[in-house]
Amino acid sequence: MRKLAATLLLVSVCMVNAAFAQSKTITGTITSATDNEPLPGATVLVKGTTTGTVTDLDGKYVLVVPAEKEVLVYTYLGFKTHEESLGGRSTINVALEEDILGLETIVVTALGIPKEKLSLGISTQEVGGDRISSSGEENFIEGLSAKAAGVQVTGAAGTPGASSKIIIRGPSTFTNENQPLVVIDGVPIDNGTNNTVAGDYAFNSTLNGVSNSNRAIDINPDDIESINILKGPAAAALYGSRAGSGAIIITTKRGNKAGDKAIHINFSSTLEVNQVSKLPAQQFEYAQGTGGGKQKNDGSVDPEGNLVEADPGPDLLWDTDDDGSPGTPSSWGPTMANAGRTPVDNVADFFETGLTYNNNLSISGGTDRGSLRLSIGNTQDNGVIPTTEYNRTSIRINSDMRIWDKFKVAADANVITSGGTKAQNGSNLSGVMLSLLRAPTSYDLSDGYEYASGANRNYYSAYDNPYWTIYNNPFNDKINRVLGNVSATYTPREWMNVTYRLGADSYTDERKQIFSIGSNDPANAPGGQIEENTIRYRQIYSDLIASASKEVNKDVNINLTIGNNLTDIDVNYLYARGRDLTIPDYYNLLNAADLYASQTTTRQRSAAFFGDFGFEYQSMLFLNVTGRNEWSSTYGPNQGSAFFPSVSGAFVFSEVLNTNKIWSFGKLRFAYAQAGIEPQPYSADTYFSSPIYTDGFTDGFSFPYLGLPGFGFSQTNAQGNPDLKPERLTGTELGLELKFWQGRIDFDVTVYKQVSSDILLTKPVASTSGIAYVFDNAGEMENKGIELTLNADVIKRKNLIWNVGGNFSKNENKVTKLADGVEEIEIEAGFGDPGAYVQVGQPYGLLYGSRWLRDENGNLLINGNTGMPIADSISGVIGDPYPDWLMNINTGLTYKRLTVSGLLDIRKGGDIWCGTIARMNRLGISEASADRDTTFLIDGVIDGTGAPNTVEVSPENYWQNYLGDNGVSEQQVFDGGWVRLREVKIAYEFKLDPKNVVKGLTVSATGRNLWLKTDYPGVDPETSLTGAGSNITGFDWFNNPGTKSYLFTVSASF
Amino acid sequence: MKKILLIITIPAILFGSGCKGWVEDVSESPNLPTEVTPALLLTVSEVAMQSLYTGQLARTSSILVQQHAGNDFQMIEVRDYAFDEQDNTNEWKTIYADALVNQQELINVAGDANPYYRGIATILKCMTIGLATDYWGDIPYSQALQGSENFNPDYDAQESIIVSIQADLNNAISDLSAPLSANAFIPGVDDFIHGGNTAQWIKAAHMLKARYANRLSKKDPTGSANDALAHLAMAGLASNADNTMAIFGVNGNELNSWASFNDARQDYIKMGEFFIDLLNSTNDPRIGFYATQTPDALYLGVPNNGVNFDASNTGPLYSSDAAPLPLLTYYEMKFIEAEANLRLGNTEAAATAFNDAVKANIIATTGGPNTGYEDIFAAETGATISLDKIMTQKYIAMFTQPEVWADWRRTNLPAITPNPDGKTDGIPRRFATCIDERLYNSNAVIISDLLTPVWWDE
Repeated sequence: MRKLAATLLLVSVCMVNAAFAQSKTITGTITSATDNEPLPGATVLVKGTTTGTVTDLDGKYVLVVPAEKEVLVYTYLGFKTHEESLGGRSTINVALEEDILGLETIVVTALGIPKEKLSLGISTQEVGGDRISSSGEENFIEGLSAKAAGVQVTGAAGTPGASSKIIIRGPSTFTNENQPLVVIDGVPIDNGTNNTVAGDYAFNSTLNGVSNSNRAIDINPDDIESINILKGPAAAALYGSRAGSGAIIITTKRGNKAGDKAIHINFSSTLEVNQVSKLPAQQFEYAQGTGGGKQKNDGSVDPEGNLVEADPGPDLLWDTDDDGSPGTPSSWGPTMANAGRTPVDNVADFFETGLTYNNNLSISGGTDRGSLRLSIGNTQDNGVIPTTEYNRTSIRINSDMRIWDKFKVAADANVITSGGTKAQNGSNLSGVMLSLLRAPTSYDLSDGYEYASGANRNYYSAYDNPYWTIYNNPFNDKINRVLGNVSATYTPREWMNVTYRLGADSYTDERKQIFSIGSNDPANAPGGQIEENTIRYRQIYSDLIASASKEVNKDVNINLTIGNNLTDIDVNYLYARGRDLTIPDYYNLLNAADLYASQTTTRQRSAAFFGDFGFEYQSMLFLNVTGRNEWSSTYGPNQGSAFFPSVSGAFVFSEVLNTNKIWSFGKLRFAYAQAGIEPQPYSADTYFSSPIYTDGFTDGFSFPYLGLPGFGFSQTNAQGNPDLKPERLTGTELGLELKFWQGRIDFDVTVYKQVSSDILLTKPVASTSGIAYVFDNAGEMENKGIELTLNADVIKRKNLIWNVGGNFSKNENKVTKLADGVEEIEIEAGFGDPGAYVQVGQPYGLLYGSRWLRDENGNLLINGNTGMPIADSISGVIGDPYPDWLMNINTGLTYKRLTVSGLLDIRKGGDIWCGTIARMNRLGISEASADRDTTFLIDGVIDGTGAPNTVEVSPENYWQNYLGDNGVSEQQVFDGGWVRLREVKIAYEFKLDPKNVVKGLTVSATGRNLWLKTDYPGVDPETSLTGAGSNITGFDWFNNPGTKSYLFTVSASF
Repeated sequence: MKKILLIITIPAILFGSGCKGWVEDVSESPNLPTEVTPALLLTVSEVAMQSLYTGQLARTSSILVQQHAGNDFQMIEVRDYAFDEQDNTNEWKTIYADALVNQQELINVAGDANPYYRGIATILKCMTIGLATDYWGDIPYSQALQGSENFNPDYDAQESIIVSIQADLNNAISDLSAPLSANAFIPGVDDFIHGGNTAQWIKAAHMLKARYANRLSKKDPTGSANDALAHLAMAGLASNADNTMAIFGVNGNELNSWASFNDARQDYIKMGEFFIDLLNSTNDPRIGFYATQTPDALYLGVPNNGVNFDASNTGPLYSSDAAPLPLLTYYEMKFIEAEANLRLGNTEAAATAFNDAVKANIIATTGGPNTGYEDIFAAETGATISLDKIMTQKYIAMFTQPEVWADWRRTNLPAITPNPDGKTDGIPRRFATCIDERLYNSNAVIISDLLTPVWWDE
């Protein structure tokens, strides 16, 4: 060993000596050929090495070049790369030409393979990291909203850290993963949204509880250099069965570029002020109670109504003999004056201004042999709902080192700790909004949420006071995560290299949900409950990739990449619950009389062998073929492996047609590919399970029963299928890129058709066979669409730049096949009425529920006696939660050091079931329902006669049974479209002397969601009850509200 | 070029075979077992069976015979006879894909080496299929439970299903009569209904045989009576100690079906007016056990087409967390004995059995005798006994049990007035074929008219 070390030392000394032997010093200036201005920060490298330097503020450089080296390479972002032979010169001045058409732009594609954008036949769209971080979103997935064509982002909003869901080109599977694979520096990471579910819970947990985080939120947006969105199967085909829903390729910021040996320190600090953006309004005229509609359903007139208020009796405890009244959630009482009450605005009083602090510090440096970037970021986000918060601290170190000229290593590590406090949401008696929005304005919620007895003080004993919920029933999560990779690249020849990369993503997510004694929600209420849930996730990922590229002759270039890829995922999910607590405010499972625990372990492996072959003719014609053969533990044993091919081509027709002053570039793209979506693990075999016998009314029976375990077949446990194979996405796309006026206008259009086949479903079969469901590759669905992107530099002068850009996308989805005999499948349990279904011939995820009967002209059929519309006995389609189209327009204006920018976000259509407003109408608490002095005429025709309806209905009938949720779900579906000013920003960069300690200083102010135009009656329609961990969308049942924000940022560089 | 191809393909082949093995190492679920013991299956089989006898099927029948009243939401649909092919899919699936499938699996797993387990499983299976055919008539049985071998099982005639119930129960009795030494494994606490007591199970088998013999009263009045009496003689019943009860617990996942329903679905079901009026009019001592009082300290039922949120709820004896519910009882058998004897003209025997039945039920319900009531209502003689009296008292005694609806269909007793606003013209006499069968079983025989009688009701 010692001998080896000595040898190595000797060799390196010799190398150093050799380097200094006959080196020569070259000086020069680099300028722009366009305006002859010097280019500061341009790179000069000795070709084939990392030896180099960067130019100073005057564009000047000095470089010591080793004796045997003869060629220098000059690069500068946005300019064409230039090479110069020394030819014995000691001064070399270079004027670089602008790469106006962006022909040399490199993008990172699947498996981290960099390619020239010019050569791509596939559809990708790059979003710069600066656009993500300047959005101020702590979740980069949310930061992607309205920034690319064909990408739909829906934030669950409500509490800090809530998930954001991203879908590219529409849904591609019924019940599996509809979100793209997220890849960081070549290694996929987990972006799951884990929900806390007890093993004995038979319902859809996303309809209540808290809005959990999607795990991509752990990534600090400030670390992101760029995001490349691989849209279709073609772009992502090399990821095989994880690529069916596209992929998001993230490149993180690295240390200094070669040649730059300075130390750069950047610091930025942001203060964000958040406010609730939109809330359904309450009425302040009528008090809590019943019977107060002036005209009653039975025709009698009762202007007074009865004041009904909660009264637990002298003992201040509920459900005891002295209870006066449990109260009522109804605001159909007397007028405030008659009730002797002064209205209070409980809703406005409840929400706070939430302050978010975001600080980032990064240090980067470089030497001849390598570079390093270290960053530390912290976000502390305090929600508009008191007590809710999200905190993230991220430390990332990215390092590169060239050990020998031909051997390079890199190591990246990211350590994250995140988590916070969330509040209950949606369908539960402890939901914040459920109790808050129903609160009669005659009752002051803030006047204490606890009686002296310790019982819940609220207007209705069956609901928790929202203050009780936030102070007594917190949900906390704590995530500790490490992700990163090490890689080694060996470059034996200039035209080939071999890379091995080993990546890991590992986290634990520890959650605790408390329901204090006296809370209404858990099944054993009011006994109190503790839930402890630990999720441990670990993924190991390995790539071995060999690439070669060869210039066959002057016109033809070929390149080939082959490789192997292994993935091993191990997830352990541990849940423990304690019910019936004895000691108040003591939240350890020891305090529980009734204990329950459940556990799930998921192992998943895949192995693949892949290749990528490229052919290029005269920088004009490009052809690319890829293939991936994959084995996966999730496939049925009879399936073997699956093969995913792709072929794409590009034709730069501006090379053969004459460009002119107006038209400067044109390219046609074509791609065809197949990618996959994996079955859920363990679907190939049939297992015995611990059954749950539910009857749709109660929690049913489960095991252990009377202390006895039980295992057997179960109707809910589908029979395994040894023939299971991955779902297959077959995509065909055509694209056209055009540039005009020397690249000032840049236009891109893509049309695509993506057919999903072999879609996995739990196919219902006749349960008389003893089996109720079988897993099967049976469904088919297609997405067709168009994506347009336009960018224009309207003004491009030295001191004034104005650009305008935009994206438009429209996707049409149609389910073309389910299994035989299957007419519809509920994707996940919704509210029954409405639910979210797939039906043949209809778009995916339709809202399905009760409707009014109508005549052939679409008029409501009205009961001639009552004046009320008639409910159809058959449920039907009541809404499509997916938008008709999406558009966004961004603009930026830079005058000298001042930049103003804006982002307008338009969503056309996208229905949402607003159960919230329907229930508020029914309870007489919605602002509109204060209109109860008069009778109402419902527009329609009399059933039987067809004559126009003239029978008026009472306000009670109107608000409860027509516009309230006693009516039909159809009436409660609203257009969730919007036009919003998603971002507006003004920034000023100070002019500082570069010799100062502080070299750069920028201050900016950003507004987010400051203006929102929508017909939606509930909260901000960017809302999702079920969140990113669910495949159903379009449900609003007392969802927590969205926010609008003001951000103030100072960033400095040293 | 050839060399390159070789370099690519050879590792590919080697790698490919290695890959399959490497990924398959983790393809089996660590979360769920692939093998189970008879004990696990027995507990599951018993829970599945009793969940059917006490759940939505019982609630529906109890509303149909107006012991209870549908007062809100889905239960109003039941009250209005507005249930159809979609409304009981859950129960249908539970019958086949939760109950029968596990009971059959237990019969298979137990085999000849475990006659006790096989015998109990057979009784549970007969109870399950019996309940199913009472509600749905002709249903798949001989071709059912074949898994992926047959997703389109043929329908068996109800007559043949009842024949196989009787035959299977004979086998069960002989299995349960085997010596202890013939068993590899012995049921114990896992049999939470009878704790592995084979004598009790043998009695249960005889009781079930008597019930299904008497079920055929319309088809073969004399033969059914003789058969029923023969089975009862074999049963050797003595008291309520011979009852087979559904057993519940205090935890949220094991609550008495009526208690958990009334907790989760408050006021969906109230006491029925016909039933409460009947009890009130006779000062029946059982009323306080069957029903709760209103705030005005009254026992009040809801009319068969009305709604009343203040009316009485199901009483604590039947609707408390861990309260057991009757499945097969001594008093039911005494009523069968009375009815069978009456059919054969043995009026004295009928009267004696009837009086015993009422007294036994009063003890089972109230905890002791009630001479005041019994002197009037359990003092029949050969001269005074009538079918109306037997069926009316049985109707009261068999509170909440699905058997009441079957009895009413056989005898039209007691004389209940149908809901005048009901969707069907009269009280339904069956359930509609489940929608799943219409959609997924090409051999299904679809009957959607709720007034079409099942075979034994024809």
